[in-house]
Amino acid sequence: MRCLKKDDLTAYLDEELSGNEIRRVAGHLEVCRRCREKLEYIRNAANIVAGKLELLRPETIPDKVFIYPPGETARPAPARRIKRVFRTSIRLPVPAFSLLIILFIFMSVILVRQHRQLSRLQAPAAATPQQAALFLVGSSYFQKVTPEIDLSGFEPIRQPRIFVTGGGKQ
Amino acid sequence: MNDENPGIAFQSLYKTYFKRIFAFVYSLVGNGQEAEEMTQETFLKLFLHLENHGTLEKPKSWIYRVAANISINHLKRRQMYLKILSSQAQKETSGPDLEADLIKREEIERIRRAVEKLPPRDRVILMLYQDSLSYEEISRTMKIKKSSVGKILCRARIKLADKIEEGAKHEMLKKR
Repeated sequence: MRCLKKDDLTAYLDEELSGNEIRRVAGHLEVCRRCREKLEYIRNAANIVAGKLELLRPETIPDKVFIYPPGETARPAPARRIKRVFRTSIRLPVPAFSLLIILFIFMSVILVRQHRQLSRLQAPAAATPQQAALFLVGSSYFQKVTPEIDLSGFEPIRQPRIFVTGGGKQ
Repeated sequence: MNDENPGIAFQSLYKTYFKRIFAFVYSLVGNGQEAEEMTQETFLKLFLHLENHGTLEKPKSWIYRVAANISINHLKRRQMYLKILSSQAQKETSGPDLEADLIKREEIERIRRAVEKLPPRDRVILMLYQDSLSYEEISRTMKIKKSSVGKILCRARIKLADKIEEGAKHEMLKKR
């Protein structure tokens, strides 16, 4: 009588044998003490291993490995509705206000510059209104046109822009 | 599995096997991040297969086979021994009972060191059985004879049990 192989005993232990094979192994085990000891040894090892291998399993398993499995496609982001932005009462005045502010700043700058230009005029106290007005014009031009007017007492201003045509070309 | 829509078939398989495959791979590599990557790779291959072929007979065995091959390649390619030890060492315990956690971690390390001494294929077969696959399914997954499954399992269990007990005795001697 040949003893059973370890793999047969393992399969018997794991209940992986067919009906005939189970009967064969069981019949042999009844009469063979050595095979019974071998089976006990294999059963013991299997129990130790099964218990220890459970410890290697993860404590937590993530719900998903990736958010969208390749079978699904990501939902497209909702299209931005530009019209909606302008419908809201809060956002509506912003572009208009920005333009007004810019315009206001621009006009202020111009007016301030003009005011400064005007304030720099130092016409001699004895200058007539006409002569004072001529101060606003480049002196070289008026010396050509009206050489009889003495403009030496007047301090020229740079880049005058206001033209007085009262004493113009003759 | 013969589904006209591969996307639906994939999703069904994904929901059924994802956690099992992750646990299986994690048991082999011992690293959560790597287990995630390998699980993802497995399901990507599944998706591509369904897309190209449309059908899949015996999907369980197929998925486990892919996961097993990826795991075996991973175990052979990398220096798993040092990686596993270092990943276990870096793991921080946040539980109130630090000593119990430390003992558990040491035991897990000991078990991993013993498992590492097995050939990669034997390790995978052991884990497949641990994951409740039958001999028939394991033989289909690993493309080996059914009779070989019992042989490999027997050898692996005995070797592993000896290594684990040897490691436990060694630890006891160290503590004395």
